[in-house]
Amino acid sequence: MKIDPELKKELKKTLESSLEAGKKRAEVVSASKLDAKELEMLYKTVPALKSMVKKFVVDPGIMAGVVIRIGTKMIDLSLNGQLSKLQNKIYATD
Amino acid sequence: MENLGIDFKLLLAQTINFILFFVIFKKFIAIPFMKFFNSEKKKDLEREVLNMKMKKFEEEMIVKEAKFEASMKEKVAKILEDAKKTGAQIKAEMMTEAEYAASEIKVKASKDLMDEREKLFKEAKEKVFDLSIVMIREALKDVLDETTKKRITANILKNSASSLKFNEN
Repeated sequence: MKIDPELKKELKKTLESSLEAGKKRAEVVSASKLDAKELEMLYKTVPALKSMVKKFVVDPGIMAGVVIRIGTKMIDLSLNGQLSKLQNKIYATD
Repeated sequence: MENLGIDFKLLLAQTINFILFFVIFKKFIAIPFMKFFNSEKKKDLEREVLNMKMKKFEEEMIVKEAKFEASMKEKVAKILEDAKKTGAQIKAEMMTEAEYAASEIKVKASKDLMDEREKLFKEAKEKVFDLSIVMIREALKDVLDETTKKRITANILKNSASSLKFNEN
């Protein structure tokens, strides 16, 4: 099926713009609401967060630490994640 | 001569008679009879010879039959012996094969047992790990208060600054 080259161009442009928009948005999940000190430490750890549009979500399930999602990428700094890593390491050493 | 009662004419006639009888008898009876007698004798002799030949032939046949029987017995005995030997050989081969198969089965069974044991051990270990992690999570849920959570978060953020890794979601 042949697609119209103009339509192709428009689609590509739309996709790129939405990707770019995604890159500028971040979701920060924490076990409880982050105070100023914690935010400061967070920006020190991930300086790029400062310039992004942030969405803060509270999820007691992660127990402690934070999970940062930027677009399709994720940084898992939660206690839950650490426990999962430990579990995987134990399995891997079998 | 007449006084003795001998009649010469009669005597002559009788002599002639006798001679005639003799000649006729010899020509027409004795000679054919003798021929017949000789031929019968010859036939008897021939029969005798034939009988002898038959007897000899029969004796030869008996001897041949005996020889044949003996050789057949020998052959049968040899065949039986060969069959016994072959049977013993086959039996020995089958025993060896069976022993080998049994030992292979033993080795395989032992290996399967070891594998099964290892598998069970691994499964048990994994279950223990999973249970431990679940217990840790549950314990942490109860133990962690807000202050501890904040302390842990601060610690994680401090330690993660140098070793950040982005994962694809």
